[in-house]
Amino acid sequence: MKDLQEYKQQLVREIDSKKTLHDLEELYRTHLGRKGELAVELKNLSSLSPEERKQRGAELNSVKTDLEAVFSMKSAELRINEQSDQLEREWIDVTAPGMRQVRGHLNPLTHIALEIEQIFSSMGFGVAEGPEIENEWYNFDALNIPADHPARDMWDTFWLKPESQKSKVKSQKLLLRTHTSPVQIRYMESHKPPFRIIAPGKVFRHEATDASHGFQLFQVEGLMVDKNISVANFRAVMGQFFQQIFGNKQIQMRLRPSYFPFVEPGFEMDITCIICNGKGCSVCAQGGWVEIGGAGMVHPKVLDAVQLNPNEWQGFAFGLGMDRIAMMKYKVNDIRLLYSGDVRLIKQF
Amino acid sequence: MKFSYNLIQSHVAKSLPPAEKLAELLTMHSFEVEGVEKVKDDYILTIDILPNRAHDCLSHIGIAREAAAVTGLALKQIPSIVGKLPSSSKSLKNLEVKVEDINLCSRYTAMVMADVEVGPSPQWLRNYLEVLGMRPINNIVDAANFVMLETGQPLHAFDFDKLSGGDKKTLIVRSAKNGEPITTLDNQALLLPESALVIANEEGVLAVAGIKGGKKAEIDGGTHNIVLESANFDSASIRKTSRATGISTDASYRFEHTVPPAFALWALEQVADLITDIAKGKKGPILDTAPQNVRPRTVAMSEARMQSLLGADIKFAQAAETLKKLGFDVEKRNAQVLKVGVPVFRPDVELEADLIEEVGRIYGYENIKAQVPIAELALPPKNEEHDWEKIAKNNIRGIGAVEVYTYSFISDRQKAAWGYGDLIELENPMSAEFAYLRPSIVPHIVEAAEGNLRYFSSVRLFEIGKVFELPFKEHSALAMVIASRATQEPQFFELKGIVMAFLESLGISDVWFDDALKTKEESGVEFLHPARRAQIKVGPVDGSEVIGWIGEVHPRVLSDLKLKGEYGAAELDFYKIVKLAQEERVYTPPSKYPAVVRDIAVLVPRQSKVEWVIQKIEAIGGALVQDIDLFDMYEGEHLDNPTKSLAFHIVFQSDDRTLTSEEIDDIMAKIYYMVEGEGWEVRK
Repeated sequence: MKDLQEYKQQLVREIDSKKTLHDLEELYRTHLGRKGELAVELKNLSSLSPEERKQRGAELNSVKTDLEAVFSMKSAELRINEQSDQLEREWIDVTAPGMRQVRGHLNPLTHIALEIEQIFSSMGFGVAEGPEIENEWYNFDALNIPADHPARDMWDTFWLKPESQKSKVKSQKLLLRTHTSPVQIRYMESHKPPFRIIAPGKVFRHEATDASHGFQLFQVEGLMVDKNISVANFRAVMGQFFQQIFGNKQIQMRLRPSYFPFVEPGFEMDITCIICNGKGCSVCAQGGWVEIGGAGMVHPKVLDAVQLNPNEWQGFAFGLGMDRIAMMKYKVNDIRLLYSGDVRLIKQF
Repeated sequence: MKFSYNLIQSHVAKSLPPAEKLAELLTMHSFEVEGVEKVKDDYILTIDILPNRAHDCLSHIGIAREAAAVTGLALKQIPSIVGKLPSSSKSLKNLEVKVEDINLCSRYTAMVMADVEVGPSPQWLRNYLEVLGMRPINNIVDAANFVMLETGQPLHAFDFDKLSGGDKKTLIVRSAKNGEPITTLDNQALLLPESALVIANEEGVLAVAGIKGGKKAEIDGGTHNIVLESANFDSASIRKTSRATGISTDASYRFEHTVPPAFALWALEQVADLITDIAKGKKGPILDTAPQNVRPRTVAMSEARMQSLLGADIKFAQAAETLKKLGFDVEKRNAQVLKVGVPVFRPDVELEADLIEEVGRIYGYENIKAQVPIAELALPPKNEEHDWEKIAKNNIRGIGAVEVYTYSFISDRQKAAWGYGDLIELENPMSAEFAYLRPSIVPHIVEAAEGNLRYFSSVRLFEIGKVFELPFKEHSALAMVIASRATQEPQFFELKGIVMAFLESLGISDVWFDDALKTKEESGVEFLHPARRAQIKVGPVDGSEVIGWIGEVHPRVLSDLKLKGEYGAAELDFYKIVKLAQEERVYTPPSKYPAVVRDIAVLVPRQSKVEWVIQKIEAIGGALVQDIDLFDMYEGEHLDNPTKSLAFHIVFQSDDRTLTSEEIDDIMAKIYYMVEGEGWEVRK
């Protein structure tokens, strides 16, 4: 009869020597399997006397339980080893490039437009739009720029050929809008005050082009009309806007007197040069300030033109060049690049 | 306009701040000073005078008045513009002036000066003219120019003895006859347009009124007696003639911007005094066709209004002081309202707001503190079309397209190559490259795409913008172009996939592609490859709406424009897209029962359309067919009997039960039967 304690010790050594799960399982089957050695021993019990049987049976069971535990521990150990080998084999070079995804891009001008809109929308301004083909009334007359007035020279205009015009609009000449200001008029005509809108859009100027001038550009118009809107309010709104759009709390705005027939008083808006932070550089001609747009308090004659009582309503209007803001914010040095469709530029946005 | 610092100083009682400092003050309170330049012992300020202040500030006296106001210094006494009119008559012993149309010449003042000694001007005068960029000529002409620089009133001198008509000369202010000749002072021979206003006598034209003098009565070394002209000409008429003749002078520029009529006599007296001084001329009596003593306009300004518009706590006393410095007469009507007399040199001031501006700018906009507006907390008005545009742009970007902005104009060359008919044409285009308004965004994007093919093997571009058509209509369009240097696969399917993905992203379904484009009128897309193009439609076949087109660009267009590469293009009517996208979406719960997929491969003639096969299968399968998905297509090699093999996944699913395989076998059998019936072949 087998010495069970010796058998156990020997088997434990054997278990310990196994290197793979597979060999371990083989060993298990040979000894603890259904037809394994311990099973044979158990079967042999029947040939023993009841007394011996009881004693040896208990011993067998105890040995079996112990061995099961040893096997299970070894098995867990080997499983961990094998898994970690497996993971090691699955090594990849994570510095190799990722799978290429097609990615689109919005134009920098669109990014600017969206940001402008978001800032003004947070201050309660809605977005209004108008046509790009305008007539003289909306582009000039209603804005207090009468025909034959030298002020018209301030806007170099593209006119549409009259031969091809079958306009029903009171023999008005048609043109491409030179500013987004006609949208003010159209909006005020069709809505009730108070007003708080911006009007982004394309405008056209018959001007020679160079790095900072285009004959087609994007402008954003703003209009706020209520009972008590003042120059001081305008400063607050625009001050907020410029600090937000350039993400720079140091940006200051200053107003200089200027003349636009549709506002009174009229201003030119300058902001701190963002290149040099106002210290003076070649971009701002050493002055520390750059011109950014025109503005003013809505002219009483404009309110008259849209049948609003100038004694009851007042407010400000402004116009900004979006191209200029894009150029400053993204340091694009030639306005024409924005219209070139060059993906090498756009994909950076 | 250029201004002399020394000449400005000559009108101000105490020393002005240095030129740079003065420039800064003027910029912040009056007008933009574009430059300060030291010339000789003077400084030249280049000031941008805008049209509203051209009446009074195209003159040194006007700028001196501003300089005094912004520095707080006093102005020296200058000859009064309005006041007691000197004695004058409408006609003199030796001169008569006939004005044909008083609307074109509201006032003509003149004086005959005898025994002038023509010669060079004194040094101080030559100096001023030279630093201001004018060429000294002789003391008479120089005096006239100098007084114009001082007052803003253009002046002219004729040689009295060169005028015909013995002892009594006649000047006629009239419109030119068409093609009437004149030789100008600078020896330019002109044929005048009919509308030009001229100064003439019986023998012909002496000067183009308010623009340029003529050779005929020129002042020269032999001149002894002169006629001085100080007149007021209509701004629109001068502007028109200046445009028509292409001549723009210091005089015409001032007249175009409207010179106050009161200046005429004021300047005449000053120039006569100066000529007496420097050319020993003897003053004669004054001729004045319209003696007038203009009553100043009065405008009221309320304190409350001023404070409310500026948003600053400016007191009336301060406002009144400012206005007085600028030459306004101020009278306090009561505690709340100022009554302000507007001087004749400020015709731009008509309304209360104009006065408020005067107070505000001198006070300094920089001194107005920012105040957050107090207004109703209201949601901004919605602009659905604009909101959808933002969503659309984002979604197309998600499909890998790059947004471009191109020009809204197209050239003759593009118009011809793309085969467009009549387009909206510009009266004054920048150049032939930009002669028409674009009827489509695609031509420019295709060219932009080609530029990019130098750096990328393929690109996807898009733009949303206005397109234009006769008669003067515009609408928003969304254009997409894909371009490759060379491809084996038809570009069409890639683009179609993009278009479908985009439309689905906006929740637009029921989209189909109609290739039934026969005539040019029906298609309007002759620039597309005739066998690879379609209209994009939405809705049932009867009563569908065309929302755009798609196709590959016709090789002929590409070769006409010398474009290399292959291009797929699509354009959608953005208004229609917005309308479709606005339709509400309703949730359909997915079926709780399992889906069963069966595959079928069908061999059909090459010309048979996938769409037909799908429709047939759908018709047989009925409601239980949830989806039919083409997963493989290839064309056979038989030349005489070209075929293609189409393989579909057919997905069966019911909303209310689990389908049995018998049920599906039954439908599949019907589909096989249909396929055979069509003369197609089921590949097993």
